[in-house]
Amino acid sequence: MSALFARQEARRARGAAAFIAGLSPRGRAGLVAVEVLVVLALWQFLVGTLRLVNPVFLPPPLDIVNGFGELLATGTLGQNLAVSAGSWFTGYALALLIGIPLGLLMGSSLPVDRVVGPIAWTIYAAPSVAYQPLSKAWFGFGTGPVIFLVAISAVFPILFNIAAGMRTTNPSLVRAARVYGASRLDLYRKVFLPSTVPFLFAGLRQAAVLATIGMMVAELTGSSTGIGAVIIRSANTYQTDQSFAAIMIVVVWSIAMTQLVGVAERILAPWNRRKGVGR
Amino acid sequence: MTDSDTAPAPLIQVRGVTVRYDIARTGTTLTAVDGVDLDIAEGEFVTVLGPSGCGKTTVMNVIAGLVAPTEGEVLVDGRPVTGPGPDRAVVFQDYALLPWRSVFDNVRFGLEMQSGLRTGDWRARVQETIELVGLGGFENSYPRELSGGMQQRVGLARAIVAEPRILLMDEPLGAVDALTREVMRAEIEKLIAATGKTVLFITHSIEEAILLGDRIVVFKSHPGAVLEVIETGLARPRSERGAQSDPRYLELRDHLWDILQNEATTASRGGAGS
Amino acid sequence: MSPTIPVRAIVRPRRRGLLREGELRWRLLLLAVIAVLLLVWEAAVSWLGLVPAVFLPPPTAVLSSFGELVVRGDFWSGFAFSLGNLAVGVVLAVVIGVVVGLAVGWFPVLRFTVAPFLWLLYSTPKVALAPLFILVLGLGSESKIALVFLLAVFPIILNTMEGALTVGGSLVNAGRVFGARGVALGAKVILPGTLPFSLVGIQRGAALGFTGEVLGEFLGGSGGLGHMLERAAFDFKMDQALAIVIVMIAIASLTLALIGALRRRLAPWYDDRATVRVS
Repeated sequence: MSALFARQEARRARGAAAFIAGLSPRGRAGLVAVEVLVVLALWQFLVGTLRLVNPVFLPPPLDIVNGFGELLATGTLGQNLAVSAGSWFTGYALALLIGIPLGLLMGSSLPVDRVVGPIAWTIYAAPSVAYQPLSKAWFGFGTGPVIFLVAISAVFPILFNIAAGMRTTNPSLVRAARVYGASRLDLYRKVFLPSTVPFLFAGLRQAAVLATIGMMVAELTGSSTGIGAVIIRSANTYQTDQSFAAIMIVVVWSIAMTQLVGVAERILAPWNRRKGVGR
Repeated sequence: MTDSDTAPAPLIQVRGVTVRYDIARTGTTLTAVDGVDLDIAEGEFVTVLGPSGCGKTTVMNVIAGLVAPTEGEVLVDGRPVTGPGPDRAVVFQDYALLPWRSVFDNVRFGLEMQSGLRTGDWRARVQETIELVGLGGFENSYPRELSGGMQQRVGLARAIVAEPRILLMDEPLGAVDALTREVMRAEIEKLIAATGKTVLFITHSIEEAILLGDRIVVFKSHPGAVLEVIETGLARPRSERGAQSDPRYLELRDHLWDILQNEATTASRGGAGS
Repeated sequence: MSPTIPVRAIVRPRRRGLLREGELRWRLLLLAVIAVLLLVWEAAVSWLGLVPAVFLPPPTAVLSSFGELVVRGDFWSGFAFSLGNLAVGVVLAVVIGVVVGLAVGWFPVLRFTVAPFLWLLYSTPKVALAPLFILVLGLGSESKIALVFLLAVFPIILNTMEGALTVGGSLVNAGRVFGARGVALGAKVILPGTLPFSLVGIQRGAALGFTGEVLGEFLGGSGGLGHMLERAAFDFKMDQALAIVIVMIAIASLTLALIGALRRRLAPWYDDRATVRVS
């Protein structure tokens, strides 16, 4: 808690900050909601009413709602969202299928870690967008390149987090288990894997975020279907209210997927505290 | 007959200090410290004893000027405290060393901000202080390379290099192992005796409180308040070994133990504090 | 007055070198594996004809294509275009990001009101806004720089903010006790303390910024490596496309390594292991 200077100031500032600090999590969520509403209202006023910015370039919230309605009515939204969702889940599933075993292998075998690790880091370091033209050439138009990009974006956080989780298993736990007679298999099942779980979920969360970004990148650059395609098309025809509506859908999707992982975590690993490699 | 014949006013005067925090979430108020009155004369070594909890540190922070009291005030040399300053140097419980600075630069930090003291021989002073706390040879080491006890010595050196009138020490030996603790305790005692500083020393160890303090302020938590103030009345220098056979030490120890134990049971029986 | 019990320093700093004991053999293994992979690749395409060269040119073709590229003027102007935009965008993001991050981390009121909002914005896929940036800011460098800035600024703000939170507290109290006020406090305590955090954020921001740059080039305009890549893939010159992808990977890895080296140089006291950031 930052200590403040003069007494009067201290008491006053402490008041506002302390009030906010004292809010429960629900209270704080409420505060954020209020903030968002204030921003929206301001936005509507400055652009919609005062026309400070050309509403084509930055449509006010009400227009965006309109655009959303249009998308819904023409069925565009439904179709493309379904396509995008399909690509997302397929790509994510692929990332899980590859990432989890590979991560476990990396975490338990030093040679694998030392070989696969640097290679993975190098591929991961480059922007996923760089792999997009190649994947388009290989998989053509349609959802192939999208799935590829989603998978390649999502696999690395999963991989690295699982490996890190296995490596940072508390050695005291391992020793304790061995004292009480755990076999190699037991050690894996009862000590290493459970220790890895918090990292796994941190990885799943990051992977969800990156997967959405990967999906977006793929669909924005030359897919004919999917939400990204909707954004491009409507932007090119200056129907920016629809573009923004589509962007909002993506935002909601991103949040929804992260929450989904959170729910999965609560169900599968209720004992977890937030831990993990990175955010 | 004249004013100058009466005893000088205490250096530190704590008057009715109360510190409260409002918790909006539950709509209650947490009283960390409730109506503390304390006088500390110049050159006194006062130990504050009590179970771990926020009260003692909060009072120290108020004296240090890091926290403003909700009620009451602290006077140092007759003037109210409005903020922190190097005249009331603090030795922190978690050392608070700047990790990016070497030992030498960390100790120098104690002098840096007061340009008036940047006389030509400040290097020598810093070096002397480092040697005084027994870290000669480690001037270029970094905090992360040092053990807890050594880091605490750096904190101590930083605090005393500017020759403050008052030293506020917040459980400085808390994170140090028992062997090193006794060694450092004796060193601190020797150091303070040599320099005549006024010291407020927070501890949760009864032995430490008795062995170091001229007076012992027994504190309770939840809310923090003074339970009792005791004159130690033991000759210096004191040693842990010597104390075991000193009846006064044993008497004090038993008495303090009783008070604290009593306090602990009433606290747990009474449930949550106000 | 030295203590009678010798107290040894407990940790000596490890020298970070490529050749720590034992690491050498893993480096060699890695090189061996890469060599084998390249051989298999070459074999599969050139010698055994398992994969048509049109889809996946062999390493030799990629290499020769790379050789061709390097001597072309337009390659280097594209290179300069991309890196130039990236640099401008990242520098802007650093300046604004650090200032905002420090402000939000420092003042409790801001921390509780603005920070959750920032987290919200951070977790939304801002790449979806790319087409709109092109629409509004045109096909030139401006839209790319804006995109780079938008993507890079959030990790910088958030990491700097976390740094400010970590430093605030005991160290700041120590600073104030020993007489540091205002600017002195900022320069001597807060800035060095926040530095390692900011650098981590800058690392992440640079990577994301690069994604933004390449994506922007895909979506419009005729400059930059991204555009070259897209053209090459479109014309099915896969060897050239792969060569450009490798250049991008190299740029990304080098930038991250550079910032990493900067981190170790400027903030050697920071314990990496505690907060390795993957995302």
